[in-house]
Amino acid sequence: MIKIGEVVKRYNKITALNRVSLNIGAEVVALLGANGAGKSTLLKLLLGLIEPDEGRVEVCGHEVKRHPITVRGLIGYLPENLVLYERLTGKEFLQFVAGIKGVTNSKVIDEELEHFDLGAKKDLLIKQYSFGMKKRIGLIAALLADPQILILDEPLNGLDVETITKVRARVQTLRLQGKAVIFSSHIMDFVERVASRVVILKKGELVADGTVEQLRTSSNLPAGHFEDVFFHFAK
Amino acid sequence: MNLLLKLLQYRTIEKLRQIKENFFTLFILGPAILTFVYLIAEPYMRAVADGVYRLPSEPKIEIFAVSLILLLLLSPISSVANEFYPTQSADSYLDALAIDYVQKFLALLIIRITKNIPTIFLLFALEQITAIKSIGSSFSFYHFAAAFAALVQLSVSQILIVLLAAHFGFLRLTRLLPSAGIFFLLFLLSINSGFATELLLLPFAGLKDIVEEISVSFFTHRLFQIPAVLFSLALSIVYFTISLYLYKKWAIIDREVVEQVLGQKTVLIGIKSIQKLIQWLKGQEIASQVVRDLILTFRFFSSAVYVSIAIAVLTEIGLIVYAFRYSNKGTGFEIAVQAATALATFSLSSLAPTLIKYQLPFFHLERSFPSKPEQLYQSKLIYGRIVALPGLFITLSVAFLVGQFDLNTALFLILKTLLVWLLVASFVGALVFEITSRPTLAIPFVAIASLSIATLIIRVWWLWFFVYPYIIDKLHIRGRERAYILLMGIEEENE
Repeated sequence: MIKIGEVVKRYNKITALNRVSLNIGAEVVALLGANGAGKSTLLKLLLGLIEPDEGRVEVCGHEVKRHPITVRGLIGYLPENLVLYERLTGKEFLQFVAGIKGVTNSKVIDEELEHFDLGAKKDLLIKQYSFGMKKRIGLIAALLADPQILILDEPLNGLDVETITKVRARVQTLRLQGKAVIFSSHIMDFVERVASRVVILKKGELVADGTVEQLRTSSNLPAGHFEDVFFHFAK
Repeated sequence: MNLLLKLLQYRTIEKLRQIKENFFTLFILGPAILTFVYLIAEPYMRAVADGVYRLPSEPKIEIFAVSLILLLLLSPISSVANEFYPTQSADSYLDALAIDYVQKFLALLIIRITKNIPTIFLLFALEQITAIKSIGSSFSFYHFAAAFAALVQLSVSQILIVLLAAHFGFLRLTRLLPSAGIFFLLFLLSINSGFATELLLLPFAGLKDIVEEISVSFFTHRLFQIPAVLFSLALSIVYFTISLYLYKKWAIIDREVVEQVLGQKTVLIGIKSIQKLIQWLKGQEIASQVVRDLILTFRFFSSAVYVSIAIAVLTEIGLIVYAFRYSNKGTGFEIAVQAATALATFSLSSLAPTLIKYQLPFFHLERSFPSKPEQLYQSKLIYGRIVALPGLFITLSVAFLVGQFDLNTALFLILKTLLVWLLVASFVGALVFEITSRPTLAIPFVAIASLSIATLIIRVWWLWFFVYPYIIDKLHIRGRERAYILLMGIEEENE
């Protein structure tokens, strides 16, 4: 589904990604790394929000650099720094995104709002929403139009336990439907329970790639907390 | 086309809600202030319209037109950059959606045009007001056509400039302003050389002629010329085509560039000394706030900073023109120097209301700190004074460069300009909390108050010693109360 080949991305003198190669199929991939490791840069490359200096990124057979609009049509994206139109209601914002994404079934929005416990507050202006409620609106927007690939950049920030459980269940459902889900997170418990594959970046370089169990074994920490496994590779 | 309509539909809903939220200020308080300004300015406009002043020469009209166009093109540059390369606003969300470049460009162009409507409306409204007084209404189809052409050309030119500036690394003020300065200098040097001037001003052709015709109409009756309108529209189509092509080609790469430019910091020399001085005089809490505000200003938190500097520079140019054209000595020139000080001080210190508006979304930070209303008030008062200091120094430098004074007059003039600066800057600083959410209304309000009192002091300077202590004391009480309301979030709760 996704082919990342020898990608290099530099910001002035800083190399954000250094010869990163990755193939992703219908699986749930957790992208881990310390702040500034290159996670968000990699996710933005997939969406064509930035271009690689070297290398090639392909999504469902389309080169992102040449067909960014087509690629964006295949992806649902939740950005880390989510800024929404403050003077639209939650429902209006979702109707707007649905319109852009070509979703014709308007019932989907109401169903998702109910699912994420926003049904009663759907007609409030977004500026009246809490951070967690805005995040939920962003999640629903990313899920609209049933995308082939779901990219979630730090999806759990600000979410309550109940919503995290719902997100986890939804991600598992998408995996069973043959979709690819890529997310970055610092919540190791969530990663351990959801990800079928874990990719760890360190200073722009890919330092680990495998299942949770494989990474435990290769780090010689079979019974330890996954946080320790992460530190083993990322520190 | 469906996507374009969707984009515009939801942006319109948002904008209408914003207007509804500010209904009172936009439709009651705003018009009331504007009417008041009109009543003050009306006799002067009538005098212009009735021909008291001579028709300026063609080069002077041309200089005015080019200055105005440069101001209109460059002042909103950061705002246009944010529209086309959004990194912090809600529009940044759109970048991740599958929206065709053409439709997105068209939506952004329409938004830009709507933002320019008030400027063009104001220009043509002024032209109409003076025309009515002198020779009766001259409104015609040509006005509509010229206004439309000017609006479109101005909008596409602003877009093209931002696209080029972002791509070639000229978005930073340190590069953009010198470039504009060099262009203006070349224009001044070639002003009487016919073909060279025409060639240099070719990018503004059409728009320049329309602005010139508006300027001339203050003095005499002149119909808008069809060729100017046609040329303006033709250039608009050319700019539109180029801009669309460049946006499609460069949008992704330049979005990164803009993000990096906005993220780069400017090092401020001497800021630590200023902090230590304020800390020593007023305490650490106030010093921290003032320094934060100064850093934001020098990093151009808003395009209003460009406008303020531009107006202050124009004031200094006005002083130079006065010195050469009328007199560079005596009471008249001294009054001109003080008036220039008042205007430059006001122009720079009026950044305070815009800064407050900029800070409102982050005010929860101030509210969570143990800062007192008195400290908040004092910090903005000091900010208003410090930020206006360059206006005072430059005015005095210009005055001593072009004027003729004996030592006593010079020293006395320094004292009087100091008093004017302190009065105006303190007035603006003290009134800064009056209309916090609408700086566009707060600024005219503060302008009327501070410049009226400055006019009185310029005429009778010693009145300062009676007016300043009394009025400023009252304003301090009022300012502290308003700062308290803002800090406690009482206004927001009422809204």
